[in-house]
Amino acid sequence: MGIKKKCVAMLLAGGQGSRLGALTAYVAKPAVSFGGKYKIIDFSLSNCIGSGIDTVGVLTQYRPMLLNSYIGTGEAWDLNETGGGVHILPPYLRQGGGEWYKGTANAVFQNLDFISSHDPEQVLILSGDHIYTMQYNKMLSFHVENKADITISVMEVPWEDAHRFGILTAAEDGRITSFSEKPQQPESNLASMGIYIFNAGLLENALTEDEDDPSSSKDFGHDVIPRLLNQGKSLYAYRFSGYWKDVGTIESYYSANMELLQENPPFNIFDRKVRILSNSNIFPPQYIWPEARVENSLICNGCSVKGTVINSILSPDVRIEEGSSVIDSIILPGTRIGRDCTLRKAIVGENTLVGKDSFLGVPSEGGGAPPQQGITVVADSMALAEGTRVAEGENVNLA
Amino acid sequence: MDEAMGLICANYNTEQLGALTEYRPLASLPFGGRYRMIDFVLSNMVNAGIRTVGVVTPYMYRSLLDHLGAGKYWFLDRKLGGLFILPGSIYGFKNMSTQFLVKDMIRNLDYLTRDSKDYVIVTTANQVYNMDYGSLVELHAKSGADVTLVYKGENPAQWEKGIFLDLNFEKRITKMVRVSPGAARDDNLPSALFADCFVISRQQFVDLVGWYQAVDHMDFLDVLSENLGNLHIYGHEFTGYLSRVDSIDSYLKCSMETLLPKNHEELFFGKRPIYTKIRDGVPTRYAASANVTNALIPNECTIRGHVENSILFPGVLVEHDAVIKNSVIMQRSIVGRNTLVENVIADKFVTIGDGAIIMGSNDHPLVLRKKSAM
Repeated sequence: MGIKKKCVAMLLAGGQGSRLGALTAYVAKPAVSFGGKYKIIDFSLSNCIGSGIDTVGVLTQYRPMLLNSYIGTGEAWDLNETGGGVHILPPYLRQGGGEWYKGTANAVFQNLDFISSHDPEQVLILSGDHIYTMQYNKMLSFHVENKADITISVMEVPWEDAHRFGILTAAEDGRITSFSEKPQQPESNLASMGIYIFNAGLLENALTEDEDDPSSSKDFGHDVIPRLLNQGKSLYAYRFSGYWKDVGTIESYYSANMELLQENPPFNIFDRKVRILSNSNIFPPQYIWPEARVENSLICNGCSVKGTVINSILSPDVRIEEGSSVIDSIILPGTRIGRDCTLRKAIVGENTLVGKDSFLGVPSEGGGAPPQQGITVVADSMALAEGTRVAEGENVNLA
Repeated sequence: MDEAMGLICANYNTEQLGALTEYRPLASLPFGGRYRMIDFVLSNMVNAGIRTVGVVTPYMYRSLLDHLGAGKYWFLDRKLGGLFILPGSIYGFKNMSTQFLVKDMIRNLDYLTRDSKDYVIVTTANQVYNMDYGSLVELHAKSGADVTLVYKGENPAQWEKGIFLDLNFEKRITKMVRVSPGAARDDNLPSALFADCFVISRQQFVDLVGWYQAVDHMDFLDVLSENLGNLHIYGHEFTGYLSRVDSIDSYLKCSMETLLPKNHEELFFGKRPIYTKIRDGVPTRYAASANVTNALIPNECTIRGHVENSILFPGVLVEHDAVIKNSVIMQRSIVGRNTLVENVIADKFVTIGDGAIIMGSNDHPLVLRKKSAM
């Protein structure tokens, strides 16, 4: 056993993110690219190392291959520590069988031995699918100062969105008085961000108790937190004010990406004080050909642009051939756009080939708003034939 | 292929690069948007499966060691083999022009004798090319030659110095002619020019170096030249793109050449990547006012102006109504509003203030010193 750890993080990265549709056909949501060169999980991992947390268990389940290889030894986030570091924790068999993770609480329950092997004072529960920067160490100090059993990170959300979150009410000093998951009639607009700090002993007891409850859905927000509140444990709300986004739908994913094109984006990754680490491959600098035109866009290393790119984001290793126009679009890593293509408001997945003369985002002829706010999505690893036409708001996916 | 080890002789400098190499060795001179000169040979070795590389460090090696670290980005932070930093000798003038100094090999003989690889591939660090060293070593091993020298068959016009090789019909080298910088042009020179890279058996290398211990100020190439009759020294022509940086003019010229699609594809987009230290930078932002044509641009830049036939480095800011042509702008330099920058090499952290017009000529580019403000 190593040195006693103050805090170990458990990062829930097993979710499919099914509302991202074609984008999560082959990868888990935390492994989806964001902002050109990042993957969604980069934000949580960077926050961990930025907060001095050097031991992180990453709970994977859905389509883990890319996530596993992306995280590797954790060295890209300086998390390749002896006696700590990143540990990928998939569900596993044990004597008497084994099972998939049945919910967030069950996933952590199945890995209690990982936590106890580090013997921490606190456990930080995170979800790997949010875009934000946060100093968890400040939340940890708040937790310790209040002698809390559990601290939940919260932020104010617009009232009309409150029903989508775990909503809680807190007294002046931060002590939580009530909590309800996705309430029909929210009595406050303080939303849980799905970030919890538990005292380690309490977490073990709470999860064991939850496991034994046949009526529980094994979810932190649904089951564990309400039960602990009822039991009179001291739960505190840590108020976070900053950028935090759940890019759980195509529409929110698209708009969160596109916000980065603003002169002063609400989430300013370009601020040198914000250090988001990622597992970058070595690609050559971008090559902007003589015939190319690039305006109001983000472009990453390894790209080669011969066509026109306007209001768009090109991830690493993307090639845009001559005569093509990429407008209001997001192209994920390794994708090739052939000659004379037109892309309007499209998201094209990783390692996809778009054959020449294709048109993604063909305006719909009939009246009425197109589905998905008109955002066209092509899944990862597709090969679109020459002259493919996809109507706006459509999803192209083999499955 | 695991029977070769590498030796990069970077203990070499030149005054011809002026302010660019005032505080850094030529080996760590930034090049090509995100690389340092040494990255090319180092990547060539790593791409050939070589995992034991020694680098003979030059004078003022802080920036070189900062770049190489423990060799992590070239997969050389290893238990077996890895990156070996070999201190080079410092004597006489700081700008020593001997490239393969025998003294440097003698002083680091342990590096060569402790390993058991069959061959050593020896290079300098001032050339830009992407070569399959694996086939080179294979070919050398098969040929039975003692030494194989890599050469460029047709001397590119700008190479007026170096070692010219006479080869017979079977590519055995019969004569080596060293031409010093500034020497009068001799039209009778052979056309093949030594490309600062050779393969030799490790044991023979150790022996030869040992025999010349008494005259250790010699260049190892002159040792070979003295032994053309005794040793089987053959040439191997490299037919790809290769250029040498040894002056301010050649730096800009070579930079501009990498912007040609053919060279660019060959150097950077082929099967063998060029590795370098990774900076975890944000994507580059092109504003609505950006106008970029024929340019190599790495991550972390912000471009609001016009960039044409130029190479930028990470973190460069190009303001509104700035015009940059035929120039190289290094890391985190700032080009202000309403500026015109042409035929300029701006070193790191240079600030070009609003309204400035800074122009060099094609043959004589202007170098802006590191951290200077215009």
